This record gives sequence, structure tokens and C-alpha cells, in this order.
Amino acid sequence: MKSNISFVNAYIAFFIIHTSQIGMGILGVSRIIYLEARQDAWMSILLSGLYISIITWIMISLLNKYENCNLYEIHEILFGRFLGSIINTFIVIYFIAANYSIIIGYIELSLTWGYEGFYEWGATLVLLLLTIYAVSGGFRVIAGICFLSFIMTIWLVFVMYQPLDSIKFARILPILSASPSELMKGVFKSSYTMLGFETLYFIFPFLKEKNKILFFSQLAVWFTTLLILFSTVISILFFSPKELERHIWPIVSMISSVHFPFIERFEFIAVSLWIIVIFPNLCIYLFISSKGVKQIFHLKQKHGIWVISIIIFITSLFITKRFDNDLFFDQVGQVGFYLWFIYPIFLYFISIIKSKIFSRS
Amino acid sequence: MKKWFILLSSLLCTACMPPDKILERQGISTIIGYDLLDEDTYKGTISLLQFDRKEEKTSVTISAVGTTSKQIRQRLEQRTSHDITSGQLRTILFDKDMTEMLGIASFLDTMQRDTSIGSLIFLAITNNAEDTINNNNYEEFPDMGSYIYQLLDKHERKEMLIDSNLHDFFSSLYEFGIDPTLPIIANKKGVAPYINSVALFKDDKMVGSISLKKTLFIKLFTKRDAFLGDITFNIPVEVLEKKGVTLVEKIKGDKFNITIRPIKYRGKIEFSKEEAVNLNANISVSTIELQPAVTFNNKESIKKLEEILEEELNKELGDILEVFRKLEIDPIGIGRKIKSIRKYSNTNEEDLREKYSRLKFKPNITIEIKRTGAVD
Repeated sequence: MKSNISFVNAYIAFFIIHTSQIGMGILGVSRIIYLEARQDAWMSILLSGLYISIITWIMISLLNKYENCNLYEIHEILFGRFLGSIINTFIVIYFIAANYSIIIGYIELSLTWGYEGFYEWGATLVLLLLTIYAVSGGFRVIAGICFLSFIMTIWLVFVMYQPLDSIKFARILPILSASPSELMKGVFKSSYTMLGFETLYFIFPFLKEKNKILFFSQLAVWFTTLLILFSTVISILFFSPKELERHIWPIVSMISSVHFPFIERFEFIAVSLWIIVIFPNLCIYLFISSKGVKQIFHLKQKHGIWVISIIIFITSLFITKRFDNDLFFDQVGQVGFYLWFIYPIFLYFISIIKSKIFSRS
Repeated sequence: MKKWFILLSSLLCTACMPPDKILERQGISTIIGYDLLDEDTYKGTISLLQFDRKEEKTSVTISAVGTTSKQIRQRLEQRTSHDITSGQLRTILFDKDMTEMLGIASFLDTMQRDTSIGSLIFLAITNNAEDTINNNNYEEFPDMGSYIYQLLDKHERKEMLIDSNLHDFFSSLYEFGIDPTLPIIANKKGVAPYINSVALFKDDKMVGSISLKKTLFIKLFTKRDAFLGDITFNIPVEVLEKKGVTLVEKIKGDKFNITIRPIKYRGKIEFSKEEAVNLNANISVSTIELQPAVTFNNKESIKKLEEILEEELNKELGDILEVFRKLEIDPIGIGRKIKSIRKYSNTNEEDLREKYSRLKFKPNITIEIKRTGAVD
């Protein structure tokens, strides 16, 4: 057992996985899936959740075989140092891209809702510095951030009760009019939103009570799925078809019909508050990618954090347009789909085959 | 190192704010009205709230001409030293001619695109938006915008108006199978503007109007808990006698007037067979006024009275459906209902409209008198 690992309780896995799944994606996912599966978009979400639940189970079975190893280390054990490092590099690049996509996604949102005219790089710098500061604190700090973020933002769900006033049930009918291939396309497109459960591969060594992790990670995955399902169903019922296709962030547009006697325009609060929702994502992704850099290049993690942040900052000077962003999210979602929806199954079988061979010889 | 971090972060994080907005320098627009001038030039009029206490007037109205909403706004900026902000914009008025001839959807694009405008602002139609905004009779409110907002808001909450805010309008405009409606505000010299009737739309063009009272039939089937508003009937005495309603007292005049207040209702559109639509609704009411004051002495006569009222309402609903059909519009959302049936889920807009024109409507409203107030 390694000595420099600080442990946290198993239930923290729920907060970490859940908060890293919920991020920028949920704001726009209903529209993206609606474009594929029409009023059956919610089924795609459910299927996606079911699938992830199975993947999570496979992931944990793999991790249980290599106790106290994260995915990077498993790769090196399975494929050897050289091949393992290549795969690890690819994963690090994915996490940097994912991190970056969250940053520009949030910046785009906040620039649209109220901060028009602010420099993109300035906002990136602020977010990055915050993240660097948090990640420098180590894993326990990140776990704490996830927990706090959950507590501080989960109440936003209850804000949705006001739009419930003007929903029309006829909009979701008839059920099951989308073809299976359309539903599957919806599942594919939902990947960007649903991703985040892969963090389990990397936080596993930090958790105590390994036998309870399966329960808490399943809980997190299903809670996320239900939350996204809920928001998708409400957006389908709330917006008319053409309207839903137009809005980039249907959830924010929906919140704009929420008002309280003491606050007229609640969506501005929600948008500002959303930074707390994405903050755990940023922290975890930076943490994981810097871990990877440490594993591959034997750099100190602290230096890894800086190197990655500088890369992200420099990139933020280039991709700033709406359409570029959209393309970028799409790409990240696609790569993420192959990497975390498909690849874990292969990895599991490879590990089984390998252990069979070894036990025979 | 860490300290520098904290210092830098705190400086950066607290400095991120939009350009400062000082209340006195803001020209807070509460209402904007558009009038059609030419083919594609419009006149925009806004009313700005004044915050300077030294000024006696509480509001200023200014107008400008342009082709797009934002161009008009840019030109309005030339006419005032205040920053025009639209965060408190509550109502958009459209000129009737413009709504009838050109449609208003293109004008509303900016309202959706601009995030500083909320989706709860009201839309309304008036004869001449500039005159309406320039009308000086606005009760105790500081400006016309606040007055019209209160007027519409109150009506939506507790009277006869159908929801008419930006979101409602868009969601029925963009959905085929239902057409939007908006209130019409009348403007007369010497009185404050008032709600006159409700405009019916086909796509984004106004094609006709119905009285406020009749919106009850639309609300019956589109909203779940709206206020239907009180319903008044004038029933000739012969009808009562023919039906055999026995009253304790003899009625002197030849009309029997009754006003009922809906307590609860439930409306359902049922697509029964090919080409036939049942419009079932069930309203429970309390009687709030009877002229002359009579007493219904038994259950039987109440039952018969209910039947008379039902007949009356069904007839009215049938009439109004014919009006809708003649105008080729569907504010009740029957098309939407048809589209939600699996068999017709892929119908396109034209087919749906065509189908709608051939449908047979069967109004079937039932009334249940639940309460009669403090007296029998």
C-alpha cells in the first residue's frame, strides 16, 4: 500500500462522480438529443443511463482486480511501459480537451447572459487560477469541493417547479415514435453530458471501503440520469418543437420564465451560480490529467498542473466562436463516447485474457 | 506562492463585472411600441422611467424610425442622455395594421436572442402604439409601461385573458397544431387604455378577434387551472317554463339573468373517430347573481337549469369553433391533440390544417352547480 495516498470515505464517490457528470452538458442536452430522437429524447437518456450503469459495474470489476491502481497504472501493467504510456498520453489529451471544453462552454454562456464584452482569455485565466489553487490542495480538497458544490446547487432543481405551470403533455406524445437507430443516435449524442463517471477509474485508489464503492457509484450514475431525464422531459413539455431546436441552452431559457417577488430575472443568478456546478468538473479533470502527466513523464504533479493550465490558456486564445465551440464539444463528446462507453469493455476482456494466460503459464 | 495565488485570484475574481450601471443614468424602458410606417420602416416608441427627483414628470416617451428593432433602439439612444436598458421591459405593443399585414414574428426574434429581455414580457396589440404610449392617463402609475403591465398581469391572473407573454406566444407560434392569441388594447382620448378584445392569429398574422368573454372556451381546453371568469346568461322566461323549471316565486320580467362563477373545470379534447372531435368539458360553478332573486326549490329544477346553461354554452362553443374554422385557425390546439396520436404523428402542417377544416366538432360541456352562495 502506498503511503502518500490520503483516503476518503466511500460515500464521497457519490459526490465526485455525480458532480463530474453534471456540468455544462445538462444545460443544452435536451435540444441536442431532441434533434435526433424528437419527443422520445428522454428514452435515449434512460438508455444511456442504463448503459453507463453497466459500464460502471465493469469498471469496478476491473479496478477490484488491481487494487489501489488507477487507470494509468493499470495500462502500464497490462500493456507495458511504452504502449501504456501512449494510451495514457491519449487519455491525458482527452481530459485536457474535456477540461477546456467546459471552460469555453461556461465562458460562452456567461458572456451571453450578462457579461457581454469580457475577454475570453481573461475569464479562462480566472477559472484556471481558481482550479490550480484548488487542485494544488490535493485530493481531499477536491473531494470537499465536490461535496460542497452538490449541496450548494442541488436546490436549483426546485426552481423548475415554476415552468411546470405552462407545460403541455400532448408534446411528448406519441411515445416511441422514434426509430431505434434514432434513439441510439440520441444515446451517442448524450455522451458529452453523461461523461464524468470515468473519474471512477482514477479516484478508486483514494477511496476507503472498496466493497461499498459499487453501491455509491451506481447511486451517483442513476441520480445523474434521473436529473438529466427530468430536465429533458420538462424542456420537451415546456418548449414547442421549433422553439426547442432554436435555444442553445434550453434549461437557461426555461429558467428565464422563473421569477420571484424579490428577484425578477432568476436566470442571471442561475448562470452565475453555474460556476459552482462546473468547478468540480474543472478540478477533477485537471487533477486527473496532471496525474497522467506525472505517470507518463515522471514530472511532479505540481508542475503537471501548471503545464496543462498553460496549454489550456494558450488554446483559449484561438477557439472562441460559437460554431467552433459547437464542433469542439461534439468532438469531445464523440471521443469520450469511444473512450469511456466502448473502451472499458475491451479493457476488461483484455485483462481477463491476460490473467488467464498468466495463470496458465 | 500560495499567498500570491490568493491575492491574484481575489483581484481577478472580484474585478469581473460588467460596466457599472448607475441608476440615475439609466433610462429604464418599460414598454416599447412598434408602428408600421412604410413597407419596411417602423416607428418605435418607448417610455422611459425618470429617476431624477427634481423632475416633476416621472416618465418620458421618445420615438424613432428604423428597419429593425435594434436599429430603432440605436436611434432612440440619440434622443436621450440616459442609457436605454431593456432589463425592465414589460410590454411590447404592436400596431394593428402591422400585425395584420406583415406579421410580428420577425420582430420578436431579437426578443428571444437578447438575453437582457426576459421571457415573461407581455405582448399586446393596439391601434396606434405611439398614441397609446403617449396617452397621459395611467392612473397612479409612474408611466404607461407600468400601467399596461399591471393591467395585463392582473387580467391574466384573475380575469379572462389567455396567457400572452413572449414564451406563450412563441411556443404556440412555433408549434403547428395551435395558433397564438394576443390581447388587444384600446386607446381612447381622455381615458386610460383598456383591454378590448383578443386577437386571433394565423401564423404570426392577426386574422380576427373575439371578445374577452369567449376566451373562456380557449382556456377551457388549453390551460389546466386558469380563471375562466364569470359567465352571465340572459335566459328568456319562456325557455325556463318550457323546460319546466319550477320556481318558488313568479318572475315578473321576461328575462331571467344569471351569473355563474366557475370554481373548477376540466377540459379534454377527444379525437373519437375519423373526422370527429369531442370537446368534453366539465365545469363546476357557483351561482353568484340571480336576477330576479329567485329560489330553486328542488334538485330537479337545478338540474334543468344546468341543462339550459349547458345548451347555451355548447351553442356558443359550436359557433366559435365555426368562426375559427372559417378563419382557418386553431387556437384551441385541436391540431396538437391530433398530432399526439400515433397514427397522425407524422402529419405535416398543411395536411393538418386541411384535416382540421374537415373535422366535425361535438361540443359537450357539462355544468354542475355546486354552491349557491349564502342563500338558496
